[in-house]
Amino acid sequence: MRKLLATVSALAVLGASATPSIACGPPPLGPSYVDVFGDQTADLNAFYSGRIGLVMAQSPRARLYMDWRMLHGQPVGAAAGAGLSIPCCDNPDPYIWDATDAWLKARAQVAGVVVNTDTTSVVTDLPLPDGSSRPNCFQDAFTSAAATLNARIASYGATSPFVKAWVDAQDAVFTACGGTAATLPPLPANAPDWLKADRAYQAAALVLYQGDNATAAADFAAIGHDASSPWRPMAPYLTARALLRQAKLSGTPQSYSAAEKAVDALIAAPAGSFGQSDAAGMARFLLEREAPPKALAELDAELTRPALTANAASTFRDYVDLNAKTTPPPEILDWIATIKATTEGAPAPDPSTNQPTQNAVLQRAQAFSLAHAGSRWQATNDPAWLVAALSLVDPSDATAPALAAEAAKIAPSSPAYVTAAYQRVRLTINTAPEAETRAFLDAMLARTDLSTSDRNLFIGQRMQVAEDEPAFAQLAVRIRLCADDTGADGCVRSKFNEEEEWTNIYDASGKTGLGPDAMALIDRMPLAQRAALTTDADLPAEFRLDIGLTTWTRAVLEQDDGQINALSLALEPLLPAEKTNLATVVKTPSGPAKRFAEFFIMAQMPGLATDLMSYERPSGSVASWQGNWPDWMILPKGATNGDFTPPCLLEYTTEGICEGEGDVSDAALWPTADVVCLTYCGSGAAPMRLPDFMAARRDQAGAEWKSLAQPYHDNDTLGSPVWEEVFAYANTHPKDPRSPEAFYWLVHVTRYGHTHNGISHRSYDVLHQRYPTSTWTKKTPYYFD
Amino acid sequence: MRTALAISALAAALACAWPASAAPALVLWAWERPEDLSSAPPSVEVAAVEGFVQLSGDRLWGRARRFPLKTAPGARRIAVVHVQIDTSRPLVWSPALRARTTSAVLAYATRPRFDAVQIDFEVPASDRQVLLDLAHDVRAGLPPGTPLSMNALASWCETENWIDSAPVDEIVPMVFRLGPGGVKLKAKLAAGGDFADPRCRRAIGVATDTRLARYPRDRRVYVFNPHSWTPAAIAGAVKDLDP
Repeated sequence: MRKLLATVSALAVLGASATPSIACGPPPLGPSYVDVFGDQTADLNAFYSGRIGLVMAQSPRARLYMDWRMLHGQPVGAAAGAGLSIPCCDNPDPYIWDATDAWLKARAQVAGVVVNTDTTSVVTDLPLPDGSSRPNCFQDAFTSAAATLNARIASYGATSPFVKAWVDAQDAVFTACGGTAATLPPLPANAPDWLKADRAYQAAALVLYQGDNATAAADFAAIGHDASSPWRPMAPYLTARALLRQAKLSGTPQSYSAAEKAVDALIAAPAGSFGQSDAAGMARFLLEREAPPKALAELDAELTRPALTANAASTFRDYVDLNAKTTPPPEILDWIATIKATTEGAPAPDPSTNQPTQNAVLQRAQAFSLAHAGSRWQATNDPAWLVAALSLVDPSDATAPALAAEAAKIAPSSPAYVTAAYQRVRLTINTAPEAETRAFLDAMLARTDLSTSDRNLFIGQRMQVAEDEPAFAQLAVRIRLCADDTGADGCVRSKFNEEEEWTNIYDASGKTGLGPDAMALIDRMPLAQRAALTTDADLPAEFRLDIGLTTWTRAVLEQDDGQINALSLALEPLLPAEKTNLATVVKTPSGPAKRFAEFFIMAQMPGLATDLMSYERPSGSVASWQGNWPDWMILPKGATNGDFTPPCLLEYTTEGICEGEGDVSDAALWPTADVVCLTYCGSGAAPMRLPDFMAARRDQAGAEWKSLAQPYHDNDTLGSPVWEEVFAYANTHPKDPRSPEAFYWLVHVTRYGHTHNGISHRSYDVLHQRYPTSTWTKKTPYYFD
Repeated sequence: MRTALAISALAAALACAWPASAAPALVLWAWERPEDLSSAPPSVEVAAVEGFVQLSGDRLWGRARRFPLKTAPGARRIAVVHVQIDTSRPLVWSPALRARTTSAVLAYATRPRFDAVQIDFEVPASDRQVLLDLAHDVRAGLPPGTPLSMNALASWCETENWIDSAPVDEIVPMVFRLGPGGVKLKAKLAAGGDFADPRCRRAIGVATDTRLARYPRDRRVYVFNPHSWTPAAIAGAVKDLDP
């Protein structure tokens, strides 16, 4: 049995599963470069050994509990850490089906028994009227039954009628597990003593599973007094268990008192007595119901002891559950709630209101929690509270400069140092001299003790003060976390969230990717700056392809022939499938033919976009390229009425969405968005800094956007349709060998992308009438207007 | 509106497995928490997790629903069986484990008062055949005429096509918890687009806490709530489907 599963919270003692085992819902999904759950095995082990790293507000509460301990100089250790890093306590009986399987195999040996190999026919959960079920028979029951039967077979033979009688009785016992009515068959008249003793045990088990706990307890107690019964050693545990069940059901003081006596007797039994290892959990269960303050004090003592045990996860879980209504909450839970901007008394958004309304409430909650964190820091001088305040404060807040100054005083030897460093840079990156921030971040990145996630975050900050495009290119790349979908890398995030991992956005090895903050900045670069990245050898080829294609698309829509040709040449080796077509673009002089050559490529490539978030990388053959063609619109060269903007900053965050968010312009979002840590580090905003080399050309990017039209959408008539121009050129150049294929793509675009003006039918007609024997015609049996 | 001039025979056959009123319909997922959906209109279906199965190495662990469930009288109920793989141990997908997994899923899926079955099994790329095997075997083990649905990651419907061989009547691509690549899909849906795989266009899965600017409504809409459903949340989901 895995060590993890040996920890059973008091709430799970009687099989009550208090939280879902299925991982879904908050905490956050992650991108693949930042992880609130602790990264991979090496980083997790380092964390358990004391390398606290960056405290992230959206980490699970158990991880924040570990952060709290380390911020106060208390160790965690691997034994406790492993349990605290994953959802707790939901699998008390992981191998029950193996046990039922073993039972079925054991009984199949006995002569006269109707063999049953269907494990699912052994129902171990008791259905309840409210649609739920509870575990009634546990793994140990089946394991014990199989072992006992094998012993009886060994002693008396598989053909013994008494062994058969034993099996018949045990079958009735297990029938009761699933709530089906059952009675024990009559004992054979000449039953030997061993069968009588076993039958007494089976009878007690049957009434237990049928819910008659009081009778079961009495029967087990009687077995405990029978010196000749082989089941006597198990009696104290089973008596306690039955009385505990009764106490839970009836809730009377008498039943709790009886249960307590039985549990005390089990605890006092000789060491190693059967079931004694469960006694502590049983006692905890009783204490939590009879004397919650005393139970809380015990739990608190366990959680603050110098060395944690492997039970820390279940202890913490019980501590959180029992403190659900404690006000004020104990300090550690107060700190955890505060760093999550949910301090007791903070407003909570109403999910039925619109997003801007919810956002306003969240901002008030952030301010409330920040005020609390600040006052706790002032009162205690505890770095943990400074960490909380730093995670909550916006750079624009009046208290930000003072908090940043406090962060600067944290010594490198302090467990709060890495967090203080990240938050301090976040608060000052737009005000401090670029060279100063650069030097500080270079020193942080020179450390050898950063986790991969933390390193990615500091790289993201360093990118914002990059000296030039080559430096920016190197810093745009992040190390991917948790790439191994077999779990061999030790990542625990999949135990919290069932998220999907998209392919085709990383380098060829799958180990690096462009950070979302890098993509947001690249998408805001002017054409020439973006184009320079396409030929930067420090970038993996896949990223040069991605940046190159999106830049090429912009150049085409801007009709910048110089950039179109240069990028086409750069893309030829990166996209061999389009080498010929790209070469055609280069060698064709400016004019309709050149535009057709460009638009022909756009027709073949559904994933093209003018930004990196909407773009889909072409992979494999042309026929397998994925994506959804936009309904491209183009303005006359030199136009200045374009309506293009890059995606709003929220789109670069996980689950971010721009529609319905109110004003999502860069002017509105830049001060409040966090595209670096994606709010996982805390509620405090993280407005990015444009590196100086980018800031110098920001106006140029804005001017270029005015020559671009957004794709056609909801009767937006700005610009002329690219697909119409493809149709017109192919229609007037029937002998161009690309023309039939062009018509094929126009029909394809309509089916899987967006067009308007009924172009699919028209293309279909020309294709079939003019090129009846073309393979492109054969591939186009339908139109899709 | 697109006019496809041909409908594949397979799609036509599968289209008969759900009731004729299959589009559009609202289905509320009732997950692993106490759920009282009795205030939902009778036309609203409930897809409730009835079984949980975990595959770990060469072993299996399963249990029935642990939390109360209430539905409106006469509401159509779908038994969802959630399957997951314990990633801390390499999966040994042997014939024996395959058979036991199928038995387990069928045991939880074929409960009284449930009208259809849904498999919720989000496999990593390396274990796709496991899902296909399971879907095949569950289909074979279900009473004839029992509709079989499966949830799908959005990327399976968008950038991959291995899901086409799944012998199910309905595929529900989930447009939430998408991860970093989801922006493109959401933008595509916002622009009026649809999933690349036509088999994924008969149903869609959304979540109450993941807003979509726009998504196709001409199909069965499953809604996930990360918290227990309340009458207000149910009313909101109903209104959202048919404002």
